[in-house]
Amino acid sequence: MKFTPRFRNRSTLFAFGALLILLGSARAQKDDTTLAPYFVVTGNPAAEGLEEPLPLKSTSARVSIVGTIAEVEITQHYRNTGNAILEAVYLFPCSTRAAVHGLTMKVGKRTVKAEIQEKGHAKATYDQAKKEGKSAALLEQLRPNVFQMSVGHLLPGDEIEVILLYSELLVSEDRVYEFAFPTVVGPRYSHDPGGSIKGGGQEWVANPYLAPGTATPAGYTIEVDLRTGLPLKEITCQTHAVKVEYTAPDSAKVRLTEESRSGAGDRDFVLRYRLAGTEISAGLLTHENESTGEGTFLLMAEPPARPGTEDIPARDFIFVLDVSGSMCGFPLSTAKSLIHELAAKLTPRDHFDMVLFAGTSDLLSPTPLPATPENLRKALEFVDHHRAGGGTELTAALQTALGIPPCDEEGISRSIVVVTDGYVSFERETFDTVAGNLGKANLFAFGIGSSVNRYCIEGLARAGQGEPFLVLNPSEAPAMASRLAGYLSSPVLTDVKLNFDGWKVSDLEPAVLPDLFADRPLTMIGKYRGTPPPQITLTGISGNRRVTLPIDVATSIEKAGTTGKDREEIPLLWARTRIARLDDYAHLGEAETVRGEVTALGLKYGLTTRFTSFVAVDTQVRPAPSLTGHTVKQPLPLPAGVPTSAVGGTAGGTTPEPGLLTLLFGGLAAWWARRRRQSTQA
Amino acid sequence: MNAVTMPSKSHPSLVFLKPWAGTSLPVPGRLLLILAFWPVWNWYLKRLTDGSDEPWGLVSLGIAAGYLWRDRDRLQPDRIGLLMAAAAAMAYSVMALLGMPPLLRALLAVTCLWAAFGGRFAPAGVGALLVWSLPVLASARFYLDWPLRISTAAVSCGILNGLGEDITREGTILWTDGAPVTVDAPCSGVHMLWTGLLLCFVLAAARRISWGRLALMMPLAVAAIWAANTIRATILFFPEAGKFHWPEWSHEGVGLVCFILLAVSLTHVITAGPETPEQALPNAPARPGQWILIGFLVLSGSLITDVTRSKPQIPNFSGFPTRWEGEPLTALPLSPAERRFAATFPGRLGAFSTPSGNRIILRWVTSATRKLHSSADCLRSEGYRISGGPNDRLASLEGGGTFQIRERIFAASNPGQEWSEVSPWYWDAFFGRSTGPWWASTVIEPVSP
Repeated sequence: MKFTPRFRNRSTLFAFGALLILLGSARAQKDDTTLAPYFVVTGNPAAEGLEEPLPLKSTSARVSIVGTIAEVEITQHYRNTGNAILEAVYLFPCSTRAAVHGLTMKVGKRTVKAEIQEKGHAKATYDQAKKEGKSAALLEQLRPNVFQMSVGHLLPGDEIEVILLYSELLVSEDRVYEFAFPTVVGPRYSHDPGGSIKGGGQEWVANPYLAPGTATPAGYTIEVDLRTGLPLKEITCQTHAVKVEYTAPDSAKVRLTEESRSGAGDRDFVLRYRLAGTEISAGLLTHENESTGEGTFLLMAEPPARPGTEDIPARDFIFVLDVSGSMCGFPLSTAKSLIHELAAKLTPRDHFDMVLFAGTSDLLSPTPLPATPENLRKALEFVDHHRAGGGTELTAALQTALGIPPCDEEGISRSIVVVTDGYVSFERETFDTVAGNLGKANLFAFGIGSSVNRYCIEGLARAGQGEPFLVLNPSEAPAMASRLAGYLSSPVLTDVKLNFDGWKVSDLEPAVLPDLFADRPLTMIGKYRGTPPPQITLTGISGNRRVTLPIDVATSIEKAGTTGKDREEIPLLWARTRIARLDDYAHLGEAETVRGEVTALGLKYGLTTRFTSFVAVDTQVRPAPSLTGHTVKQPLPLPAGVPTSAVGGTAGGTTPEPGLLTLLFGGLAAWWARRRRQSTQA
Repeated sequence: MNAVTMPSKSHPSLVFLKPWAGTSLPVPGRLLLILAFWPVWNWYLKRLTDGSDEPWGLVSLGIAAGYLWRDRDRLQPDRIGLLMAAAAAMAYSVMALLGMPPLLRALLAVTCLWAAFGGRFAPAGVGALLVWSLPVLASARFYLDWPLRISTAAVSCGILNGLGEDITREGTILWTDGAPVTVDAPCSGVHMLWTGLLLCFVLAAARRISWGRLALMMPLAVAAIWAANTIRATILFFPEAGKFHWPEWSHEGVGLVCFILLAVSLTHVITAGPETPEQALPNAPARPGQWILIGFLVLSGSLITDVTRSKPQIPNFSGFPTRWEGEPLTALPLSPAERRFAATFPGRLGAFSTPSGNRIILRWVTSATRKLHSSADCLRSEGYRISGGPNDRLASLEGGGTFQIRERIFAASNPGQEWSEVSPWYWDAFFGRSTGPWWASTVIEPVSP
């Protein structure tokens, strides 16, 4: 076969080009090793002879609610089905108010009760135990609502159970009690995916998540034993299918149905119940330490009815809406529904503005706009046209919102409404931003989604002297918007004071009762000496009048259906409340100054804090020098409704240009074509 | 000195030397003049060989050499050319005195020699090719990367939304259905810009296009190259966003097709007009004093360069941190390359180790500076093979293991302000969107032995 010179030239040219393309596209693939959440794909270790990738096999929670105090026992069951020594690391959430006060480890038939130790000391104890060939468990607090369990020296075939205990105070709102049990930590956005943040401590953010569509083998069961002391009216659970069994007028047992156990661990378990009649569990609970004589009380005072809404004062609203990657889909549609509902509550006397943020912030208007129908329509279009995607630069968005100049009209106070899932790792920074720039405004934080970062939502509201709201699904949006409108129309009680009638009380938490927006009991916890008085008086301003509410201590205790004595959880709850004030919501700069006080509280009351951890060490030494050791972070399921775009480790696509060699070839081809053309013309 | 004489073409093998032989400066003198720029050539050689810049300038130099051979008859010094050369030599000396960047000094060296040896009678494209032979790629990436990426992303976003896609842009990231497509550093179009302009210079040299016409064409060519890169990025958005599934090689293919179409268009435009008529050869021969002046100025500049390498003054440095990423830092002695770099670095530089085995390089600067380049350049010059992007960069040394490189720049007074790349940091610092001082950290973490 003969080829013409022209054909040969062209063939050579294209062959050269194809080679260059192939060379250029042969790029090496690498693992993502940045400090950001990431996906993992797991196999069957037994079949593949690998180390165990999913050591946590099941979690069960047994909850006992007596009166207004919940005692929760969480059992985590680990098993090593691989062929290496394993250290299992599992990140899990807790309620922000949880006082974690106990840990027990079971290795075979041996049961070891954990000790509370200073954090560094506990870690050293744990590491030493592993080195000596002893199984050990370490429970560390990473955030007030995020904990990490490390179970070390799991030999092939080992089964280890760790049981942790916590107590929590339940407070009703609008006469509805809610027990929320978070089951999964959502992927957090960090300023620092590369991991160069000064001081570190963010390593837990780089947690693996199960790839979409991967079922978690870790089963989840939840059982609640409810004894309210007052007749129950109804029990509901919107998040999970449950079976409710009423055992008495004031008692019930609630458990997940068989069908709902599968996949139960990808969203908060939220149980709500209402008491018959109009009463709530209020009154005084006390506990006296027999050895020290130290008494601790918990006072819950029922507030007066919300004063009638004569007129909602005109306000200046700044809506801050999270449109980051984690809000994509269901959370954003819920958030948009909420914004629509909130907008519908505005009157033409109000002003408003909007900040939509992800990695950057978009501002609707440099100055607040009057809430005219036309402006509202434009604003809703502004919201509706935004798609979710990108980082969660919440601090920058708050700075933008707080920097919006006030509207011109005098006497209009500002409300900032933040709508987010709170999936950030820099919560304190956002609290500081709000607290330092709030002025006379109030901030209300709406957490959107099935498993929001409640610490962030509650902390923002606390720093903003407002209230937190949690919206689990779009159907709750109207009720939540109405609730905010109710709060703003008229607080339930302001200038609140308690008169203890000469009773010697101290170490009160909170030291000063805040204004009460929500219809919920006023709660105070503190130390006391002596016998409680028969009556404590609550005073405050409701509407335009000062009210005085006597609290009949003896009767209220009796109505609460508890003994009023020997509630051992009360000192723990006091310590937890104090730690929350000292540390959880402390300014960034104060974090180190409170270390001593928080550590002392943690050690004295046996509580996990940022500076104290539980550590349990097996009594039996089981060396296995021939086996290799591996640390496995238990991959978590993505919270229900949270898209894959929430996981920062997915870098997404890029559009790289060709290499210089390829381009030089392109230039050569063009030059050659020109030469050919010129020679043809000649 | 002899007057200028026209070279004879009777002895082809000696023709290259004839212009030198027949003009006012003999070949040894010319060689001495070239050698007088020794700091420039020393720097050029290092940049070519140390891996801190890609040596593609040699392609341009080779092509320029070819055209110089073609136009060897026209390389004749004259009085005006030497005045231009003297001006360039003067600027070279001043820049050396002011400690200006070596790339600028090299540009003046090329200009000086070009003018001194009669380059003004040669096609403009040849001169441009000589300039293009300088190591400009790394600097182009430093300065142009961010503006090119941000403008490409903005226009791509507009085009895609115009095509009915629902795209949100966040900096250089295009979001669609919660999935990001990033116009990152390898997408900036710097490669296309360099190669596209190289093609323009080659065509300008081939067609003997004048400096004026070349200057007029440059904005048009740059705009066309930028547009071609934007179209390329826009097309590649679809497979990257998962709208279509194309094989991996299609990325290179789309880029190549876009560039060939661009190159054909540039070729058509540049070669459309008539060839520029050749300039009349000089009738005002050079004077000996001019050569002496040029030689003196160049020598002064080069001597100043070697003498005035003093450490810039650094105000208000409060010391290096004692901990990093939660670990205590132990100071390490600087490597010879780091010491050389630190000698002219307008800030502070320190190397440290941590108990976990990481090596950490910290740089501290108070103003926007080209000197704060990516550490990858330094590591490459130390023999490492670099791969990956700013967040997951790997450096491997043959027989010396693999390391993960994590680079960050952050404002010391504003922890929220961070950059993973130098170009966006430079422009934020330059325009005052961020105020210094800044820390640049490079964490070198062993991945495998």
